Amino acid sequence: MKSIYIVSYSEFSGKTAFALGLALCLKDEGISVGYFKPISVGTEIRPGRFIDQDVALMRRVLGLKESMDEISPPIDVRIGTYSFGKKFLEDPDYYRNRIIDAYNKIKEKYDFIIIEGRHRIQSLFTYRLDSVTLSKALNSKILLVSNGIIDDIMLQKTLIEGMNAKLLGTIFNNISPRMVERIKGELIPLMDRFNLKFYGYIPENIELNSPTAEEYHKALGGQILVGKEHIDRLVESAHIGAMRTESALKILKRYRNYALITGGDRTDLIYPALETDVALLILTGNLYPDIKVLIRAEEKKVPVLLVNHETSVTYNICLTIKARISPRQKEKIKLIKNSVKENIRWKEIFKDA
Amino acid sequence: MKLDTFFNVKSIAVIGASNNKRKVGYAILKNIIDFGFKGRIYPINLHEKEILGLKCYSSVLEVEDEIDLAVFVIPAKACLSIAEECGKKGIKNIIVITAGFKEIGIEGARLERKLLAICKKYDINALGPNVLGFIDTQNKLNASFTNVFPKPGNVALISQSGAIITSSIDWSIPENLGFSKIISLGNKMDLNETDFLEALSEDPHTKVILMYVESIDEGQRFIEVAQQVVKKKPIVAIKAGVSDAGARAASSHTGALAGSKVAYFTAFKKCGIIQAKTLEDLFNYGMALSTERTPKGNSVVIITNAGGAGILATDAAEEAGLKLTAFTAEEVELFRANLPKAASIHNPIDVLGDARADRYKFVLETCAKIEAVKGIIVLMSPQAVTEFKETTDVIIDFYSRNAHIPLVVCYLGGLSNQDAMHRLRTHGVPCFSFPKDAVQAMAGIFKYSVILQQESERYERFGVDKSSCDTIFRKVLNDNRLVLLESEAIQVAKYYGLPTPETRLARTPEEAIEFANKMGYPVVLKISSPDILHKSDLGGIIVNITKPAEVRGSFNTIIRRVSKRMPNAKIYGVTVQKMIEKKGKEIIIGANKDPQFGHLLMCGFGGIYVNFLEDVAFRLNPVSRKDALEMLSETKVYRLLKGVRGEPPSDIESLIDAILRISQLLTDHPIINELDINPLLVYRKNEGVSILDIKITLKREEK
Repeated sequence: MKSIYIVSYSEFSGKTAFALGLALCLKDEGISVGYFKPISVGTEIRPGRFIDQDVALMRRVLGLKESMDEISPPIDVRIGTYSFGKKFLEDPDYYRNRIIDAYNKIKEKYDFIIIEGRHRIQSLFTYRLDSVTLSKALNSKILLVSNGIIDDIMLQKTLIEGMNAKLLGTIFNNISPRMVERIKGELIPLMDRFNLKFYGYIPENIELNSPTAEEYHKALGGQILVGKEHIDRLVESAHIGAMRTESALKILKRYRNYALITGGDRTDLIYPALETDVALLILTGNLYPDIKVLIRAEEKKVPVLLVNHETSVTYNICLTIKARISPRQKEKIKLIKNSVKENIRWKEIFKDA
Repeated sequence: MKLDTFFNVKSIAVIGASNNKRKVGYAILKNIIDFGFKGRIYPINLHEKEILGLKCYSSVLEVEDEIDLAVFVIPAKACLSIAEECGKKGIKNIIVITAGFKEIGIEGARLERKLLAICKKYDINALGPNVLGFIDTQNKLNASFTNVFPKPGNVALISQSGAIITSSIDWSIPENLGFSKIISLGNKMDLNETDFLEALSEDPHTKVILMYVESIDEGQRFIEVAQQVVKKKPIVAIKAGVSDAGARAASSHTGALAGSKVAYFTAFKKCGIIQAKTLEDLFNYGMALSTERTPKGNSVVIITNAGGAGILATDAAEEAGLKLTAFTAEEVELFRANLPKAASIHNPIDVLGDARADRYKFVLETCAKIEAVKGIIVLMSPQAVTEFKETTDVIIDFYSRNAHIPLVVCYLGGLSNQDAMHRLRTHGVPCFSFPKDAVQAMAGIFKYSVILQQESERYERFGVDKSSCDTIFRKVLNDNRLVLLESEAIQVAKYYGLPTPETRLARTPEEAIEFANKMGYPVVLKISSPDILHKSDLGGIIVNITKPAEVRGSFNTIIRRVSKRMPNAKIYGVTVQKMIEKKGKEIIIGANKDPQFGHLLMCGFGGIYVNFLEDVAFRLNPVSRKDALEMLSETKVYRLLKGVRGEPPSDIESLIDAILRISQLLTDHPIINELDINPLLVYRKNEGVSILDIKITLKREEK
């Protein structure tokens, strides 16, 4: 049995997407792949019921037989570190042992297990439940998923080596075209010099990075007035339309697949904005728009979402919306697999693990 | 032609005809009968045996003969199945009077889309829905629910508003004005203004086309068609919704997308459509143009029996672009010898308050012999001895004998001259109650004569590198951007032969130094990021850099400032540009893609005060050399370019070349959504121009 422990320096680095892509590539080769997440992150799906969406996704897509709790032992970090800390003071090994036990139960069932770390490399460091410490406990090599900031990578390397854990190497994820030249010209030679193995980079992909209009709806609540059938449209960015029509259009014309946040009474702005590359209309303050706006939006296949929040609150919520992968999104999952297959030396990862 | 049968209906079905006098289905059938339609009429109603003495059918499918036109006066929901029946029956024209479609909301819009799909399936021409109807006075067909009947005439009216039509007819009857065709466009689900322009251009009974426009649907096709139509007959249009509040009202009226008014005005100009500012203008122009008399110039004579009216008419003439004919010494002498001493014998000719018909007759006959007179405006105010009847006889006689001379009349007042006015109009002489209206009408026919004289535009083509631009645009889209980096936009300008300063995108300070050394100092460094619209506001520009060490420092300063002020901006590097030190006049050239009419080209006074001075002019792309010069001459900066206060003139020729090259760039690349060159420096005559800053934004095709 082989395994890797996927670790990153910051949130939203794309660990889960990479894990999923790698697992699917290996499965295609006939390798049985398991997934383990030592510390889960719960989202409350209904009162009192928390699930980790990453775990649910991997379990569904990889067709894993284990229960959610077997893949990720329930450890209630979400209840706050205060009680967590108290537990640690009583019995420092309590959680650690539970994790090791759970891992031991599944590890022999697979040829290869992908272990996914918590958001950041240092999370739960105080309680010796951070990714580096756990990688040693689970006897697994660390693979860093990074966005190419070399100082962050070197810091992690030093930490891992200083703690006597094993570092497999690194991959870069979500790399913009303008970074490519720097990676080839500067970063790869640098990583070579410091003896850090580099398995490749995955280019930025709008389709993977952009949340859908539906994700905006989930985050903002409110009511979809028209365009329910286009709710899977990708939204690349969100912009407030609060200025004079002409000034606003000058800016809005520069964006593709954007969400326009404005009051429902701004017919003067919404109407011409429907002729731009808009993907979602978010009308704030519960101001129902002119019916003609809805007709035009429907013709243009643009969903219209009416929300209660005022404009600035809406915008702030929009900033927190991230693209998620749902097991239903077959095309997106295929895209994830192909992006790993085409850009990462994944066979080598398996060999080196 | 597409609307041949529509304009020549021999048989008509009224679906939803009714015996209930309060229903529209009754009014329409009654109008068709009462207006004297000579073809076959088929009332259709499930529950009636006979309506207004005509046999009633339960469906069009029951009618054995062919039906040319079906009028729908049924509930909106029933329209779909009835349209299917019409399709099966082979009916090729329908008018959907019924409201309750797009204008009422989403459900209505969906219903309208379904109805359109059925019409397309059976190749049916559909007018409406939500219309007043259609009137053809030659064919004696009034398929509308108007309360009064228009008189026959040679003016066609196309209107997006039904109420404008009913009011116009109501007004036209006492004014003794007639119409050839009246078309209410409504929601324009299928047939729109362009279809009817095309058809009316072939209609021998129509001499002038008047339009009330809220929106135009197929902008590009409209321009192409209208340009052809105006060669045959004049089009006068009034655009409603030109104020911001008006545009909002229009957008919530028929569900129209009221485009920018500038786009509409430039589009009308490009087509040679005469624009009316008010409804009065629309009909004044219409009345005058329906005479089909076109002046050979703008030199007119004003004949009046009242000094005040003459002065008002003179003022109005000047404002409307007309010129008062200056008489020669012999001509003046002729008037002096034959008119009373007190009469004013210079233009305007004041024949005095005691003038009877003979004095008017003498002046009219004399003016007809003066070559320089291209048009005559007759004013008459009611005075003690004024002979309305006799003078009217004189004018009618003169008018019929001098078919080449455009003539308009203004009978001031209202009570004493009603009969006279009515008689003039019956004889086709345009007659008005106020001097300004008469002058406007004359100006309208003069405008049309200018339009007729215009040669067709010739658009110059320069040797350019189109495919290299395509490559840049493709690259930008593949990079998930719509905005070109400055280095890319400069390259595009270069491929189109526009003079640009040397520009390179540097990713590192070392690269920047290398480029600066190659192009020579001084240089300018600018941040390169598609997310930043105003570079200088963020400290993203440093000018006048004279040595390599400064390049390094400036590079780092720019990156630091911008990263701090806009941390989320995607930064591609820093643009290194050869600094242009030579002084010139700052001009702006811009373009914007209008969703209806395509690229709207703008030029004018450039620099940082563009938005305050607003000294700019617009044309629809493409532009000819003549257009470019005309556009420039509409701005104040043009006078500066020609040289003021002892300054030498600027290189206007090179500026015009630049405008034409940009016009070609836009024509070749419909993908360009917005283009902004500000400033373009114009140097002294023969020294050329140079672009200092250019921004280009693209538009993806809709899926």
